[in-house]
Amino acid sequence: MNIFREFLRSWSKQPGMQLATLTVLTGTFTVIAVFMGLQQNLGSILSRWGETVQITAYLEDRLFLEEDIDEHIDKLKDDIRSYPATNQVEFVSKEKAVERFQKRMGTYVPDILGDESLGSPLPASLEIQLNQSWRNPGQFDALVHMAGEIAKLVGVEEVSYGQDWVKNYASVVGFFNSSSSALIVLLLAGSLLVVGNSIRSSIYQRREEIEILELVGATPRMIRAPYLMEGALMGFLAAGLALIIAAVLAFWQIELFTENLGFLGLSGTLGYLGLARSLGVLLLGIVFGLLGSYFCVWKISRGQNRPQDSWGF
Amino acid sequence: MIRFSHTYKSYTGDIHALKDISLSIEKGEFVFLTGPSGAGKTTLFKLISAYEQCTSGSVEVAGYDLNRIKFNQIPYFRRRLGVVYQDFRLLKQRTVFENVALPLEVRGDRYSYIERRVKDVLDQVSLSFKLDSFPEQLSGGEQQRVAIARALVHQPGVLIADEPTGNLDLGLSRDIMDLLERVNAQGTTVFVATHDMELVRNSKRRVVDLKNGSLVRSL
Repeated sequence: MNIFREFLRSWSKQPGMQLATLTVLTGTFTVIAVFMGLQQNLGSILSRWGETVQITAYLEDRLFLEEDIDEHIDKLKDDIRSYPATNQVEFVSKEKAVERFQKRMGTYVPDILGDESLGSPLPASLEIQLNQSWRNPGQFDALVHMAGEIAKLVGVEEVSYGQDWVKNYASVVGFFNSSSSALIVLLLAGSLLVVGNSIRSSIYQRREEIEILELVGATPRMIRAPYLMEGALMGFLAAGLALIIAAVLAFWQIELFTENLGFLGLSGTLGYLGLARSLGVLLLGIVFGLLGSYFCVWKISRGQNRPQDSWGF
Repeated sequence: MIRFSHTYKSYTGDIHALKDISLSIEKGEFVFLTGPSGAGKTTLFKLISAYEQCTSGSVEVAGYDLNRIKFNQIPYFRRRLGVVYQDFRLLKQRTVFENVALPLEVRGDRYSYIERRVKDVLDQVSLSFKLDSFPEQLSGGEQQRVAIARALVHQPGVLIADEPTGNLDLGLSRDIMDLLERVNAQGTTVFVATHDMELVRNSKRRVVDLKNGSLVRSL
């Protein structure tokens, strides 16, 4: 039997119902695709910002009154290099700190550039770059511990691992990920019901046909196949349309974001769902379309559509 | 071909639809099933087509013991049966050709064979010129002939017909009965349920009469 022909027959019998189902399913999968895109982009932002994580050890001013200051700084560097997380240690003098400050703020306050009256209000420091594996959010506890150890070294006044806000950001992202995953699960469960209702309606519309097919010896598999195909195709179409809609929304939002919030330097970080995720959405559509139909048509395989009352005598 | 042996069929609520039916219909026979409403004709046909199983006794059709048949064997058993309904039960969205081809499609036959066989059968029922028509474009008699063609296309050993002339006038009824006679003459066992006693009398065939679930006559 031609399954595709049966599918087209079903569409032609109840186009309104099928269109309504397709619309609701497309909406559902659009929300799913959008949330997956948000998860992906928040993850990218987190890993990009995570790359800037470093520890800064501010040095005591009195250290610079000592004669053996260079030896002291070298010892501090050696001590810090002994930590496995350390990639590189750089000494930043007071003068260099001021110079950097002037450069950074010069765009906003041009007068500050070359202002010698500024003096050297900033402390000297040791900037500690971390190894790649220590820059991810999962290592923040170890980072805090390391910062505590460095703070105890002689000559270190204060330690800042300035990006501790990233830790909060990570927990916000974690919360977003888990809540959006829960929402996606809910939406998928809803999609099962939507597909199921559509298929149930199809079965009802074609109950006479099913009875006749059973009568002429069609196996349950033959009878179920067009409905399963219908569900899978419906899921595929809905997921495909959802991907297109989500892509349009994503590119529009990314353009707005990079235009209006360009100072965050996120251009190039944000993007649409990758190929694997897009294929994943399509696969979800097919699988949930199939499942939704299966829950409706399994009864057919158990003979529960038998024409008990069709004998007219 | 069809054998009932001390067959009982009861439903919940102590309803005895069939009581101690023993009946044998041999290959190639033409038998009428008669009886008033509620006599058990429905139940008897349901048992023959494996829509229900008897409570006790046995039912054997076309070599299948229907008390022991497994659920997944039922479709294959039904391919050995042809069934005709009073209300034709044709699929409105399919053409005459597609309706008749259904049992062969289900069986997985090749299209070239299906095409040849469907045309042959439609020729037998004198409807080859209606190949591409839809059921609603046909008269009642033509629709019943299409239904008979569908029941015969896969060359079943047994044809059971539920009031095949119930919706037709006298002339058309005779045509349908002639057709069933011809089918029977080709070796198919035909079992027809009818209220039309005139048809039964005219055909001078064996009659199985049911009353209150019991066999009262099997001549």
